[in-house]
Amino acid sequence: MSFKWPWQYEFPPFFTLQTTLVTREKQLEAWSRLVVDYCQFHKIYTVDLADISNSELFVNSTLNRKLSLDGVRIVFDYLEHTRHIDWLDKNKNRCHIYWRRPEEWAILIYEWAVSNSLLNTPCTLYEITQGDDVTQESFYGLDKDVLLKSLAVLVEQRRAQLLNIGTGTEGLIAVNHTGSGFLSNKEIIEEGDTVIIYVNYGTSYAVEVKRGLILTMRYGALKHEYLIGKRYGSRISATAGYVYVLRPNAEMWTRALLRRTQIIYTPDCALILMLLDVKPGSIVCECGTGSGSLSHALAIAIAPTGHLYTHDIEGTRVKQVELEMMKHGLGEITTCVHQNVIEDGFSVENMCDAVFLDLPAPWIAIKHAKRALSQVHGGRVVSFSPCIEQIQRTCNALQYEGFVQINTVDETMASKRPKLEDDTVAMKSEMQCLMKENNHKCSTSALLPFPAAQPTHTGYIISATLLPSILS
Amino acid sequence: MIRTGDHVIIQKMGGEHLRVCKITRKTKILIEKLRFEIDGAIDQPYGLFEVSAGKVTRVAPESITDIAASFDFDTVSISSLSRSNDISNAPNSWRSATEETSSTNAAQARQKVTQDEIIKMKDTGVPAEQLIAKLVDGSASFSERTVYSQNKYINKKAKKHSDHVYLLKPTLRLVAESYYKKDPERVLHLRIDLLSHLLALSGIHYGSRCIVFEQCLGLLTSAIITRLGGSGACIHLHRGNIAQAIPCVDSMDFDKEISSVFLPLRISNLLEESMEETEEPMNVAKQFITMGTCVKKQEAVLMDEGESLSKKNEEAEKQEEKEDDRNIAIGEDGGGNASAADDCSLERRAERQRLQRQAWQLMQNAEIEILFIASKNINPVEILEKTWSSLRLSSTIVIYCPIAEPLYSAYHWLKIKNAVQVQIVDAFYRSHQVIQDRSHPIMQQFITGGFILSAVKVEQR
Repeated sequence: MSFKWPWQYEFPPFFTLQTTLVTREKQLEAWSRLVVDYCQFHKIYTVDLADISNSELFVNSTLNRKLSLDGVRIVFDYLEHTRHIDWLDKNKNRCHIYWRRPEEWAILIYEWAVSNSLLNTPCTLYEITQGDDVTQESFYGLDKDVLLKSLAVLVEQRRAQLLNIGTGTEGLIAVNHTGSGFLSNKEIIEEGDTVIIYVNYGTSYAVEVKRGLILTMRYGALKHEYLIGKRYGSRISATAGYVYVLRPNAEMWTRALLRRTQIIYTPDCALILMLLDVKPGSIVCECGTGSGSLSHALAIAIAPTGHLYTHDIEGTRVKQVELEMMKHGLGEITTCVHQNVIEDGFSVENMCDAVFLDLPAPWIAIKHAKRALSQVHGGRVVSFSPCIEQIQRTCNALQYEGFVQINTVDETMASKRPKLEDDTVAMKSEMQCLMKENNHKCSTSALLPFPAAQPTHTGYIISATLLPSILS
Repeated sequence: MIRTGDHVIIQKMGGEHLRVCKITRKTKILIEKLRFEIDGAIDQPYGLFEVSAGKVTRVAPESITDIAASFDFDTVSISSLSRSNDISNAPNSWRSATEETSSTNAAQARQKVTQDEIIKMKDTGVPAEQLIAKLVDGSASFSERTVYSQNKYINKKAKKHSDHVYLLKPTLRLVAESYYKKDPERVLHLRIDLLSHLLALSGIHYGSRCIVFEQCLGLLTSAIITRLGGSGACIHLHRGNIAQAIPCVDSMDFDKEISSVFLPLRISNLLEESMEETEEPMNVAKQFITMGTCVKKQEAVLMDEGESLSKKNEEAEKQEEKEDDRNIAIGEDGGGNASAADDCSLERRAERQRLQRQAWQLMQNAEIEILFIASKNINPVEILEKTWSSLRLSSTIVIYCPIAEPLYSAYHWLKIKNAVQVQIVDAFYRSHQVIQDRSHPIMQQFITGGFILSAVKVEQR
């Protein structure tokens, strides 16, 4: 099998650097693709510019055309920009070429390790590129330098560690799983991940996947092994039916979590995040960790550079939420503090962008919240209380402490669905009549609340702004 | 810091209106009849400012507490010493008869300070506190009112004559509230609680990859870009050749890193299911041809009844075609300037095409995690059909519509596609007055809203 040249290779202007910017961009893209494909086909890992600029790659004898040395350099600059090469010398004459980028190799190697149950197992570099298990993999025979670069990507993602044992020339690798995917974009379920098992509307379970465990539910039993290696969103057969396995997010976690206190539900969580002006990079104090429902929403919204300081008076709850955050990959951006905020204040001062209070007596904590907020940027305070008397006292305290834009709202969210055909007998006969005449589906005309019992009050939400008080 | 060229949110203290305004020297602001020039605020921190004789100066932070106490909320405590006479006991007839001799103006009989005097005091820069004090002194019946009535009177005058404004950094909350209160129809009646709920149901976070189609001035796109924080992708489907009519995005003053996730993609590429420009041979002659023409429309696209997505897009394309023709004419007329303008235009065009290719690649690889739709007169099923294959498993779909009917067809379409967690929600949201002994919901406020349909895509049977 010989290398198949693209159509551009037979096109004389392809070998002349184009002056039009748009055209040049297309030209360079085509050249970079050609170079990568050519090196992949011939298994070339290291390129010497002087050699390759005279090879058939850049010289078309039949056309009597050749890309100039300047042109070749521009192509390799483009490849460097797209991270397909790394220069080996300062004069930029020799380079490594990656027909897949190291990130792409890293994904393939990691998926191989997952599907072969090699997580937390040491492997030698030889085993990864020359072992019997990998003869069918595309990275079989991979160049050692390229392999090391790919493994460096995994190390950076905290999915691998490089170990040196015995002679320095042979490395060993241990592949560790990362914390589960509230923030990740993974496709494949791995051991240690937290997944949402969706049974039906209103029934779902949060499960930490571990070999040997079984989840028991209405549709039978489900072994965790069946989940490992599947894609999120897959349909999984259980012994008496099937379920779906979903990637978790804050909203699904709120539905599925084990409740240790009364929690704040999604509509209020969402509004609180909006009123706090939370975004990636924000620093937030929360008081009243509770079951961690809002904590998850806050931590996910501020990741990856923000930080959440969450406080609770109950030590056991603090420990449990802290453990959950660690498992869910949010541990690095969350600090759980066992502290009585009413008496001792928050654990940070003069650095927060937002403070949230879910307390029986939030008016006592307002002065502590003010101290926690940044004096240079100001910030936002939100408090959640079920009773209007609590809101009155909180409002007075906010005003006394110099907060402005004090605003109190409440929200009631109703879940609904279209009226279904079998809801009434009359609808049936009407539908039959229509189907006979027009053979098209009867359309619905109303929304019904579903389920029938839904919350009509959750709490009042009071929000306020602290203006900056120090010139930056 | 407030800088020239930035946007700022302006709100009168005690007022309801929020305005988004771009700051330049000599900008004149008018908000709720308060008029001033913005120059005094430039290079100051965001915060509270005082208006005096058309100029604006920053209020010292130490004074904020006192000012807030004076204006926003009642701090007059109920004292056993204060009188609580009922107004009905006032000898109205006697007082009226006496004052009839001095003035024929009924309102003037109750207030000694004349309108001209008020205007003169305002023009000369008298502080609002003094103005209100004079009005209180001049009120014929103030001393005979109940404490509640007195406080209400003072607050009413304070709101009317207040000379303090907030100049605040734009945030998603303030921009959303500003546009909603100004003209809710143009943002599809998308209240901040519904906007926040859309974001929560979608599960968006740093690094998510999203597709968004919206008809609400870029408000939803602003929310998505804010939450992405500079990582991930926000593929913005738009009509015509350039993403336009998104003032909310402009108002947020996103920096370059945060804006890098914004990938506009023409809806016509989606309809034709191709990125023809990517496959163009690099022929200079063809380059000229494509520069002045629109992408050819696929005749096979079915035309739906009523307003169709294709039809609206065609109209927009025609408009763009006219503009392109005009540009070509100008280009032909000009000499050196034309080539310079062409270079700049070509660079922008190249950048735009690069972003489109990036967006198209993400969609073709089925790497999209969230689909947002906020539409008014476009059937969301059309968009779902074109984007469904771009969504990967366990991705979320959230659709917003100010009326419920379009969501019925989307609901059934998603059910047929075996999506799970399909639900439709709407919300009731209101503000409250919270003052000691006088707490109640605010009696009149904007209540228009819409409906949200959300679902999760899973493996087919």
